[in-house]
Amino acid sequence: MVGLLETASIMLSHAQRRVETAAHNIANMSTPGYKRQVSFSEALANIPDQYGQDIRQSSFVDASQGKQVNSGNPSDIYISGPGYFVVSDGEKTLFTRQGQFERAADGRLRTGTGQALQALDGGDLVLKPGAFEVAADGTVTQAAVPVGRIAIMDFPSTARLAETGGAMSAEGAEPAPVEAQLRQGAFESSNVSTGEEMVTMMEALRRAEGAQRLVNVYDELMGRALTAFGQS
Amino acid sequence: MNGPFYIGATGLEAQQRALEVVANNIANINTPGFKRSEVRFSELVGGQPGGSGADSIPGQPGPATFGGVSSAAVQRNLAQGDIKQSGNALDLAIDGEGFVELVGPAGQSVLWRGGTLAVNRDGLLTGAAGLALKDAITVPNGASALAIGRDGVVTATVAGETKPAEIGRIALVRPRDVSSLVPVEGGLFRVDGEDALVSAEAGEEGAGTFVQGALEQSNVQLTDEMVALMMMQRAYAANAQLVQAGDQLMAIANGLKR
Repeated sequence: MVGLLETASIMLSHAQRRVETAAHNIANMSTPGYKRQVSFSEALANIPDQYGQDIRQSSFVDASQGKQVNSGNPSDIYISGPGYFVVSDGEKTLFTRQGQFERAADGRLRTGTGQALQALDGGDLVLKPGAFEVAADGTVTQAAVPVGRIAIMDFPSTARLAETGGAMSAEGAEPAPVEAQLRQGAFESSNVSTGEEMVTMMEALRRAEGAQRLVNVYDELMGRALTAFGQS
Repeated sequence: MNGPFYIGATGLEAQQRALEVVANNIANINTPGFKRSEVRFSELVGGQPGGSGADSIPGQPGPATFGGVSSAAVQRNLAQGDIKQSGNALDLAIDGEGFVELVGPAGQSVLWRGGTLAVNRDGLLTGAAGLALKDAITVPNGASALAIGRDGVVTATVAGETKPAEIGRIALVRPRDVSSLVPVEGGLFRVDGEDALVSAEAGEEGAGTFVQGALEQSNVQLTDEMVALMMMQRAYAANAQLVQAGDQLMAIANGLKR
């Protein structure tokens, strides 16, 4: 009998997690380069003999390409195909597809959260004053003189990337440079689709209702059992 | 049980902020020299605390907690606006990235993208809001045929003379860091900190040149703003839906006990 209640409790907590994921995706539908999180139930083999307990809600990142948005801003860069920009705050190296950079006073290109864009040969990419052009292969030129090449890295699998607020940190995974097509004056929009998130949300709500029904049935059964034992 | 509430609320707040910025852009579509702003969104993540609740596994970190979104920064887009001939000899536009430095009421320097010049009571050439140019160009009494060259050299024909003579030169400045520009009243900008400005002669690389008898239009594109506006409305509505879903979840939890 106890299994019924526990199952309902887990169903409710999973439904909440799913709605949270949908809310997070919808909240970030205007965040450039954002990759939607997909919530799924994961079977765990190591906790047997407990009803429902061997399933947990987990999420992965849907790395599919977002739409290209032309902005005309020279410090916006779009990656066509796989790969990540490498950004660093001096201590930690992160990977992102968020291609809206700001040109800081010291000539570095910085993300909204202040990390500097890295060059392929290591170190920050530093621009001289004046206009700059980014070629499709990532080579940055100023007045026809190359000043560096933007590093675009990729991983054998995105499974080990951990989300850290707009960028990914890689622990254990080894990034390798990839050939990517870059486009200056454009950025990547998020890959969130409102329809899918709404469906996820509705489905999760119905599941929660199912759990509620389960609790009601349990309550009814217990009530009947008590009455029956009381009469005998 | 109330995660979707907070996450949805961050989305509503961010979209509202973005809506204000778009409204300001559209309101200033006819303001000469106005530069549009745009909001940069960034994702919030709450880190990975040890799991708690029904779906946690002892000894393993829980799944990342979601935090929603924040409108991290409002970025001003300093792209050149169209230069439109006005026919007024005292209208001045800058074709390029530079600014004209004006002396503010407290002696501080403010940056101006050009507009209509005037001559004040002391004979000084002034820019927006009656603030004098930092180059302190005095227009002699009774001078006529004021002309400003592409390089900023101001010439005028002084009374009693037949040929125009040079009376001064308007210089340009560029901020070292465009993100350090702080907008102030009247379409002007302020830069904080010493050594934040680089002087440049008009015509130098990047600084730009002067165009007399013309005004720089705002760089707002109505179609872009309208598309952004529609996106924001939809995003706002979607976020509101999610807040409602969070509410329904709580109603379900409350309905467990009949």
